[in-house]
Amino acid sequence: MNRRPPQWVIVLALVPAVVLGAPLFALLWRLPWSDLGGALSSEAATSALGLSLTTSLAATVLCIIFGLPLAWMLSTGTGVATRVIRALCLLPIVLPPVVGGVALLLSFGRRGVIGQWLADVGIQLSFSTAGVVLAQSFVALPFFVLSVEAALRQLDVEFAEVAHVHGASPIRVFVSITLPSIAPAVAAGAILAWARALGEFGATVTFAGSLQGTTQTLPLAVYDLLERDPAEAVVLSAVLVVVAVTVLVLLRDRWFGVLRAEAPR
Amino acid sequence: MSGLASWVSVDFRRGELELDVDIADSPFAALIGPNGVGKTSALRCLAGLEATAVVRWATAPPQRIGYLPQRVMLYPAMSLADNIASSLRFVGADRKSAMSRAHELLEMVDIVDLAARRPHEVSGGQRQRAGLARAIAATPDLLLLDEPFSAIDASSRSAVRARIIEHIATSGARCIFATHDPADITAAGAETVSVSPMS
Amino acid sequence: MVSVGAGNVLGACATVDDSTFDVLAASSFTDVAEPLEALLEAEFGIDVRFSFGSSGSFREQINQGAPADVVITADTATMTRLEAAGLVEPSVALVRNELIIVTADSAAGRSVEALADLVDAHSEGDGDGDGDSSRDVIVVVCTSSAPCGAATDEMLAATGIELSPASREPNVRATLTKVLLGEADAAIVYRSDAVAHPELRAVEIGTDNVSVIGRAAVVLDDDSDNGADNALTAGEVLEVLTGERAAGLFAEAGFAAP
Repeated sequence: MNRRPPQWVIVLALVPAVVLGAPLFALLWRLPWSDLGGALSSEAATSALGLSLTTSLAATVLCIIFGLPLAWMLSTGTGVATRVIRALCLLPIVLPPVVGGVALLLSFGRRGVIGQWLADVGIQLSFSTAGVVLAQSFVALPFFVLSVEAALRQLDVEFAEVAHVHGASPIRVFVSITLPSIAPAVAAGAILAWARALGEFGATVTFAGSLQGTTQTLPLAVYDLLERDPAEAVVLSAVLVVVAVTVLVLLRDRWFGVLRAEAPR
Repeated sequence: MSGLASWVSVDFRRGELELDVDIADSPFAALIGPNGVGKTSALRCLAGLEATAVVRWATAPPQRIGYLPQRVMLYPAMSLADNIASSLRFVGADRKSAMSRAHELLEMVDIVDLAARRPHEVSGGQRQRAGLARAIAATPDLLLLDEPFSAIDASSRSAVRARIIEHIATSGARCIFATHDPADITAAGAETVSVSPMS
Repeated sequence: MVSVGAGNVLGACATVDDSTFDVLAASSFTDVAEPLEALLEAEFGIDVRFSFGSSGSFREQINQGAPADVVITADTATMTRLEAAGLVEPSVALVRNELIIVTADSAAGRSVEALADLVDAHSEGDGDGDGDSSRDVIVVVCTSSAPCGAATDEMLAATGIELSPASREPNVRATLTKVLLGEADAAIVYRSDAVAHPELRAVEIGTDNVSVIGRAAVVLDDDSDNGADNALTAGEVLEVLTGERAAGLFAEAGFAAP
């Protein structure tokens, strides 16, 4: 049996492909290829690119460190508390990023609910690179948790049971058996989180501000350049797109599956 | 509820299970009965996997349990050798000694060349052999095996079974296993325990 | 003759509601827009709609056909670009807006009495906890590509003061918001913004101050959806905007005469 969809479905599927591909194509088409080197090596560009890479990677690491326990907890819980926490986790996806930025200000800003205590100790997150990482982590975490929790729920609980009977502690089970079994989902979640963090704009500009070298990541630099030097803005946009597309293409299909439990005889 | 040989009684609080026994002191006890009657549940209770079941041990409770479920459940991200070694690693053995013991057992069940393979890369029978090895690797004092030889091809079954039985017997462990095959019971010289549901 | 006819036909086919008069204005005019709107609607009996944007995007927006019958820019440079691109008729000066410092109600904010106070030995806005942050003055200004930012740069260059702002916000509104939220201690914004927010303490910059001239112009009609009707009233709208009553409204909002 041929698994491919009928032709008319394929034609329909080409519509979104074109809608998504056209902007990318236009971007590359309008690229000032001759000025590329100059534009890319400008101080604003290198600073923004470097900042974007370091902050997005830091945010991804944070998402993994805190997202794993969270996904574990959500995957085993069944009560109301679990549902509430899961809703909270998914909130940043629904929230417009700028609103997220305002929320971050209200909580972690100098006068924020938590921020004021931090200020007493001399820590200010707004206008800092740390603030950028926080804003990026905020928007990226749901993607990681979603991916990992889904994989954890799909995993057959009997693996953990066997290991438990053989003397493994819950942590040991998670680290030695569970994590390796869901490694593809963890990788996929991390890459999605990283991509989201890399492209983050609204929450960053609202919460962390925009200053070259400290908080002006690539998206913020593009926004700023758009009015001053549109050609360079196009170049930087292309860089962002190329980096993101390359990595996403590397997200192979097999990483979206989860190793299945042993089939019963 | 009735006891199981003289070792153990199980109080399955959901009131679904009753074990009737014969008294004798064989290290092997075989749970028999039609499908769905609760042989697997009984083994799970004994393994401590059912929170609502209370297991009372007439003699000392087991310090270390080896378990082989019906679906075998080899850990998917580990090689067969690592699977077998895991039982030892979980109780604190270092990697080297665990792996060497794993290789001994791989030999015993005739799957040495598959040591580096992943569970999904080998056949059901080969998985079951590895599962058996994993269960006995850490020299447990209680073995709980659910239909332990059913997937092994008929020609090799008696040989593998004999080696496993001998290994268990010489280790001094107790073994409770569920089976449909009378040959298993005979080979092990097991006490039969018929499992019936509460009416 | 033929082209006029075609223009009318296209106008008639426009999907946008022709009866709305659209004014595209820089965001610094946000607070004065409402009274201006009321004035214009009373005067002409048509529906007037103000939309706001950042000056740098005006050229592109108008090029791409954003609804605009009249455009009001915050500074001269922006209008010059529009005129050079042939997008507008010759413009008129509308208002003069000066820079001013606004401060938040924090210890550092209250300590600011003059432009020089914004430069503190530690005022880098470094938020990672080194140094006593309560004595640092956290300053935000507009980005260089925004008119207020360009004016700020000009002023600082003239005075020789080297400022290390914690952030260069995309537009003057965002700059103001940081102080309103208490995130920054001080900001350099327009006088009109200070007037719109009397709850903030304003500090004059003094003799070294620079001002920007806001200008207004009629947007040239290509085959945009603004019909012939609006071309007639646009000139009249400009007249009212430069007239006495409008001047009164601008003055109330903190603008000065050009």
